[in-house]
Amino acid sequence: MPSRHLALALAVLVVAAWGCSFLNSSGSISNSSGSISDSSDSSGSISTSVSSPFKSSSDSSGNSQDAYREDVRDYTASYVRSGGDFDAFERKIGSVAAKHGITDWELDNNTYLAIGQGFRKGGLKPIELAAWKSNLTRDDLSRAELIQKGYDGTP
Amino acid sequence: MGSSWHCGIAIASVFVVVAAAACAAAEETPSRTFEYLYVDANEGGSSGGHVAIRFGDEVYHYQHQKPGVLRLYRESDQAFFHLYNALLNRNIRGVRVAVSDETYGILRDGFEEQRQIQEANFDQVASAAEDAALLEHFLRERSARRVGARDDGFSGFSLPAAGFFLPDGRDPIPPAPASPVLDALRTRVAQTRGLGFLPGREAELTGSLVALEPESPDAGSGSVSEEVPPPASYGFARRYRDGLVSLRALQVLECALPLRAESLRTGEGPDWTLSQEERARLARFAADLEQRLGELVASNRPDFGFPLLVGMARLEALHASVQTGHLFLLDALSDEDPQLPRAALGRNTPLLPSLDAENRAAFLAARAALIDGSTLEEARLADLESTGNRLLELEEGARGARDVRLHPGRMIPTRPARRTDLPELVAADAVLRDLLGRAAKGKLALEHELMQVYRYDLITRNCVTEVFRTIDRSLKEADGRNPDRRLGGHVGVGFNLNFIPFVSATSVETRWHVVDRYELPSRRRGLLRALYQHEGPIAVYLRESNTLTSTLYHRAHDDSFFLFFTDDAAVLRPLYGAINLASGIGAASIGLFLAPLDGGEVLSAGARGALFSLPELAFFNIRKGTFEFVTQDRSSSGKVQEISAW
Repeated sequence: MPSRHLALALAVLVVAAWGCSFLNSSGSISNSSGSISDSSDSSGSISTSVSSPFKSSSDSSGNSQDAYREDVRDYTASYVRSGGDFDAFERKIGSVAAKHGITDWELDNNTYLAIGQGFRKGGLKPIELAAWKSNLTRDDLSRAELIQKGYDGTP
Repeated sequence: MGSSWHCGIAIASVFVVVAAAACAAAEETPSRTFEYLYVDANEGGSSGGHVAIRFGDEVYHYQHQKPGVLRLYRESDQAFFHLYNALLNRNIRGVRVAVSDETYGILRDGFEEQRQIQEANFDQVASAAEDAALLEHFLRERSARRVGARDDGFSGFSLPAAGFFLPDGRDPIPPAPASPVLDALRTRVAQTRGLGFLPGREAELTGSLVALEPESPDAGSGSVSEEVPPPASYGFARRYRDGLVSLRALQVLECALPLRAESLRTGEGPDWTLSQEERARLARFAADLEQRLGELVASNRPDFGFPLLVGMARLEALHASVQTGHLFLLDALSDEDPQLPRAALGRNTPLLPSLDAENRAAFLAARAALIDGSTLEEARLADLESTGNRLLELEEGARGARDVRLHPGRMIPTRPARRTDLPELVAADAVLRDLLGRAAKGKLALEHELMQVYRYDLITRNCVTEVFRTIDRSLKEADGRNPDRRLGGHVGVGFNLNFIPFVSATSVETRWHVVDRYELPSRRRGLLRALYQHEGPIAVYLRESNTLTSTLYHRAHDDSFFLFFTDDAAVLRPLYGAINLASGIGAASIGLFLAPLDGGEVLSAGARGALFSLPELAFFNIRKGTFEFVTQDRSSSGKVQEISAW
């Protein structure tokens, strides 16, 4: 029992001395490389990247698309709550898509489906949806339909 | 009437109570599990241990980073286990906590929302810093121009993906024959949109670029909050960058510029050779891509230039592959990526064949997935580029050709061009100065606010406390009922020891609704177990108990100096600790003399070695050694392969 207490005391000392996991990054809060990968989505240790494992779409295409939709949905919901510049929204969708290996997100139907899901998750009212659809799709009917499907939760 | 009315009320009340109870029961029926992960201590980044929360294949964890802030990160479980369990050689204990679908969703969304709010907050200050830097350049450039000079301190404005076609600097593009591939795309655009389309869109973009009104957030706006994301904003520098990338992309197309040298790479052997059928399929993909790029030139996306540049470079790679029958990929790594020195590969030569085999297998899987598909899927092409580049990079590094460029996760070819020929703004000097002042002030104010909101504190705000706070906040926001019921109990932070990672793991196990638990042994311990199954235990113990004769461990560059492993030697720990202490002091003493030659490396390793030996004297182990490279034969596959009960 005394050794257990001693171990606990030492653990407290160790925590006090070194604390939790430390990410050795730039010393500046505002450091930004302007890189599309600069985000809190993975702390990106370089030591994992010689043969870094990552979820590839070739492993399981379905899972990969689910993950993409989930990220677009979550960001869209967050944007609905925060509001702000519409161009910034589109730009951020580009960053989210790039993390999934997609630069041309307008071509991917999943994007519009997930945006519709995000609108619903973010609490956008049906009456507001029409304006958003028009803005986003520039009146492209098939894309607007996908947003509506996502919003309605149609599989 | 009165009696039947009362009776009706009573029946209805009973019905409501029963229905509510049924609903509550249904809601709380555990149907899913999430995991609380405790990563035990090792020297280095988290000597006090670490904790994380795993939802499916995503892991959320808070990390302390400079200059004293705590940030929430999301990793794939593969990457998390690969880093902490394999490379950092730490034991991981996981407990599975049963919750209802609803609670699972609330918790996962709570962490994700918190991550997004944090990211948006940190992004605000990054954007303000970019604004200030660009405005400073414009003002310096104007001052220098007045005396017939240039802003020599300006290293260029990075334009992603432009490096495939344009050089760094301000030099004009050297004359070169037009690329037949882009010439065909240019012709397509002219046929479908008219001859004047490209020049017209370029003029429009140039006009909006030079007339861009810089804007900056108001200083001290109090916009950093843990609860609500800031409104999305499109900073001046980013708007300028995106506009300029789009302009340059259109100019590249209008001039049909060829790819620059060393933009493409390929390997040797049958894995890189294409059959006739594969060539035909890639030709079809190229035709589809060309058609899509013809639409992208007219996109209303504010950043359409980036996918256009990447797409045009990929189109060249596809055509080169079809023409030669050899698979060509874009060089998806850039000189701005972190680099691994050749020396690090030299220290791990025995592992290179296994790493090469793993990379090749991943490459072949991605190759098959792309080429066997009926249509060109961009994510699959990115996978092929990622795996192919990683394979080639390591092969070249192993040959000693150069340092190895690294890029975590999936790569997108973004080779930047650092251009110094930026279109001038029409805004007057006074306007720019005013905006620069506001941007700089705004940046400082935001930094100050971020430090207040996300400050790291050893005891009151660390990787453990914030996990529990995020859980509490998510559950409280979700409903007003007692949130503890959802998890089976409450693990709080405050006047207790739950801020210590291993104490928190014990609290979770005793208070939450834990249905399962497992331990993933550290890499060395896992490999050691396998050795014990196939060799004599005494021989294995004698050989593997120390760093001098161990076949499993080769000292990593950042490890401290020590002789005996003590993580699997509970009884002999103080004795081994004493020897480690003496050897650490000895190494540090030698390091004192070597310091002028090695920059204090041996001194530091010895001093840390002595320091981490002290707990061993009291039967407490922290240090376990780490690995610079590991093969993915275990732990990193995303599945826990070596599960044992505690």
